[in-house]
Amino acid sequence: MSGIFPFLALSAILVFAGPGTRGKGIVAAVAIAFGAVIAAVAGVTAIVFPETSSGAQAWMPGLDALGGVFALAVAVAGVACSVYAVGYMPEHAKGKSAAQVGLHFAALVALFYSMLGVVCAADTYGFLFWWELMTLSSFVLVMFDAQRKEVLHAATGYLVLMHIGFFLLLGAFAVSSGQEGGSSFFSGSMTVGVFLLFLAGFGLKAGIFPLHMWLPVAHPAAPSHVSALMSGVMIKMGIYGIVRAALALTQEALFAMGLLVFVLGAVTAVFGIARAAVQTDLKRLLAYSSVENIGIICIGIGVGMLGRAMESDFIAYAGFGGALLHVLGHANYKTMLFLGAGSVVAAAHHRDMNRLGGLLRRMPMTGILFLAATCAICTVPGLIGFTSEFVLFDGLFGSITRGEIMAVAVAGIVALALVGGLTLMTFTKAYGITFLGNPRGCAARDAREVNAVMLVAQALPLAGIVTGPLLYPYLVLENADALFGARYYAQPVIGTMAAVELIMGGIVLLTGGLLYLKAWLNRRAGVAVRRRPTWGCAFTVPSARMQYTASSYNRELQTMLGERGAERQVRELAEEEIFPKGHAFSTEDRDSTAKAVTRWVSHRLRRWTARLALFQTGKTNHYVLHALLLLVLVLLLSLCGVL
Amino acid sequence: MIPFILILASSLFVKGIINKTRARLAGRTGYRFFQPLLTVGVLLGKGEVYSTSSTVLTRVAPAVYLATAFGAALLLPLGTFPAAVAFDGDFILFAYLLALGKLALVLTALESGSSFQGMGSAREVLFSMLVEPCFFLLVGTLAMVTGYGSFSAIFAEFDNMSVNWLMLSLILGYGFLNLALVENGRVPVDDTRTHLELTMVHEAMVLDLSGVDLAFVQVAGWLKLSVWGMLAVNALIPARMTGWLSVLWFLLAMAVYGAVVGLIESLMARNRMTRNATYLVTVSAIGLLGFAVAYVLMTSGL
Repeated sequence: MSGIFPFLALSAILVFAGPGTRGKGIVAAVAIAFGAVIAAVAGVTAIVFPETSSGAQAWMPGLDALGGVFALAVAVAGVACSVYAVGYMPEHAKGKSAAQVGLHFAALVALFYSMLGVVCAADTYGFLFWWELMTLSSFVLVMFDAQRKEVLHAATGYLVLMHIGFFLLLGAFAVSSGQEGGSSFFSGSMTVGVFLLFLAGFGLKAGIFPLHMWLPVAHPAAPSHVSALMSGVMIKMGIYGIVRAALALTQEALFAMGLLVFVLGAVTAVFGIARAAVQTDLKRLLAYSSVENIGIICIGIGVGMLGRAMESDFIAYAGFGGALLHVLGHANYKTMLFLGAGSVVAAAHHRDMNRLGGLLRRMPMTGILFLAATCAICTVPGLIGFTSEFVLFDGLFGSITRGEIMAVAVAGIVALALVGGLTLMTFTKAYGITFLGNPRGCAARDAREVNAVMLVAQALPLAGIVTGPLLYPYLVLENADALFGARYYAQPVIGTMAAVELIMGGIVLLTGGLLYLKAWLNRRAGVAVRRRPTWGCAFTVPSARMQYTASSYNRELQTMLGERGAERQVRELAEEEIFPKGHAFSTEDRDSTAKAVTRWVSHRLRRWTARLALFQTGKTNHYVLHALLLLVLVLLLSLCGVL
Repeated sequence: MIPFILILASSLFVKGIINKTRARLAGRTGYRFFQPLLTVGVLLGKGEVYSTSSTVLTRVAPAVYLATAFGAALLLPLGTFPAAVAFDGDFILFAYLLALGKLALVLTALESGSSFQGMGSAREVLFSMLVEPCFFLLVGTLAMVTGYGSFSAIFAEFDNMSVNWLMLSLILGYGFLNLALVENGRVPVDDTRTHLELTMVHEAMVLDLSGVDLAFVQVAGWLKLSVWGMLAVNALIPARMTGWLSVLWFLLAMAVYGAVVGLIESLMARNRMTRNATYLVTVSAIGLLGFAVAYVLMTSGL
């Protein structure tokens, strides 16, 4: 990958030199599209022909089958996001200097190539280099609107957390290379301690509970194509690391660690989607939904590890296979959802669903594309979302019928079923409140369809969503041996998916037939189809403000979850005001878990640093004493021959 | 194809039996047995009135809802009669097909822009979320007991003609019956007869549909009633019944199913809305109980 640096430098110069925001965007998009084509071709080749190292695979040296899966995901999401930026940025970047815009697009190119670098890296140094570049470039991208205080806050928080993660990874690599006596990169037998370090480090990037705190803050703050790229594929780099570490783990530790990853995954999934269901901010909702999807992927990885621990090829195959399919699927539909949310923000200028509504009639293309992605994430059969869930469910039910890991399988089934139900709730809300009904505010009423470039970009991931059910199982399951060393007959899943496609084709045909029947019946009866206002229960002047809002939609769930999950109402009322002035009313969403974790860590940190402050007395004579003591210590140590 | 035809046939009379049972227990004669069919016949001759806030989504969604109900019916077997479509993991498709129908109906409801529909759909998705684990647990139990992964193989194998398995079969049947009540919006979770929009769940969602669309939704409702009844019946009637005897058993059992639903509606009050969540979690706990019982039975080797 070192041959890439001149290219990166050249594209950065071209981006800065490009004329206007649109020009810079086009340069960046071309640079990314070029890499995406190479990554997609090399990725697919690496998966299908893992042994050969010539031809297309030589384009990206170091890429193996597992990296190929992630390279493919990066390629699809990268193209969509960079094309979207061409249409999105000219409006969004008004008032920004050319240098700022140039920096943004250069960082976009750097983020894309650093993700490819991460999946190609074959040594520790290269991996950490690309990993750090990925963090820095995404940091630059997040803080594009740094003039807003919350964006600056989110971006710095993100940077700090990612560096804590980086040091955990650094420690893990240092320990593992020390143990082996050489620089081994995810190979051989990894011990439990090293794996836990990796899990924490990669978990911070992926957003595993309780390390998810940066996701719901950074995603709404970033421009939409950035949040799409980060949520669609960048957090998957953490998953990539966890899978690599899981495959390198020693046989003895596999069972316990598999159980740990599984439990973390189940908790993350249920927690993430329960939080997503009570959000009123569209992008925050999507961010929490990403947390949930990371959880589902971790359920798969955990099951796969348990399968490896028990040397059951079927369970390992279903677990890892389901996880990797979910990585590919989620990269497609979450990118699409975030880009759709970006279009909503671009058209209505805010993300609060309580003030949106009726956008489908004002932005029909965005609405239809968002609906397609909603269907995919709600696991509508025949789309990619169903495929990965099917493989996971099939694996869990299969292990029940085989009488293995019963308790885990039941827990996984319950978690996935709950997540499925809550996903339906979350995304009927996200779609129904935002796009259907009547506009709840002026901004939504005056919304206009976004430009064609953005629409094309939103439509790009649709290719993966539609062809995915047959293509992705072929890539992931047919080549499971090269990917994660589990051999099983892939034919059933692909055959089943083909059958599901046929059944769904039948459903579509039947729907068409029923619509035809309706038209025929209407014609025969000679009745006209009329349009009237919605029936308002004899109330004659219903207003759009009286519709069900996002907050009312999840009211009952919030009551069930209790105060902890609830959206707190903040009301500022002075107690004894004789002449009351205007009062502010706002609601605020609090993630008490994330807050508790952050507070606990910072509290600990402060206590330890307070102890260190013992030495900082502010008196010169004490400092001289410290220096003297150090000199004596060095003298003693060298006399003893330690130094 | 036989189970599919049976579902279609039974869907025509189950609703009538429920109505008649309810009327008889209340001391009324009740309306005609096939009145639901006549009502739909009338609806088919009417034109639709669409809300001004609706788009093409509202025109398509009721057809999708009906089509998914047909699709789900295709996946169910009856004892040793296999389903029209069967493959490993077909129950996952079954669950998500019904979820697709629900998605279509919920979006239609939200499109009307009325708070009644919003309220109804919020409740509907919440309730179906809470019982979702129950379905998978019950099927998982059956999969564990029989060692198969598709509806047709499971129900062809599941034999409850021993004391232990009879116990399990009763738990499963009870679980499926509760699922049927929830998924079809019957008492004690929802009341199809309620006249107050604020207490409606499923009915509130379809308030703004009319004409052929409403007819589609009603027909889909009959189908779903029979589909869930079919699952309960499959868990209860022994697989040893083969051939036409099982068809007879099925028709009898569906009649009993209708009578039981009617009985529940007559004798029970509807839950208070806020208590429904507790009730539904209990239903899911029944699924877990079924699994635990089956696990104990399997491992103890009885």
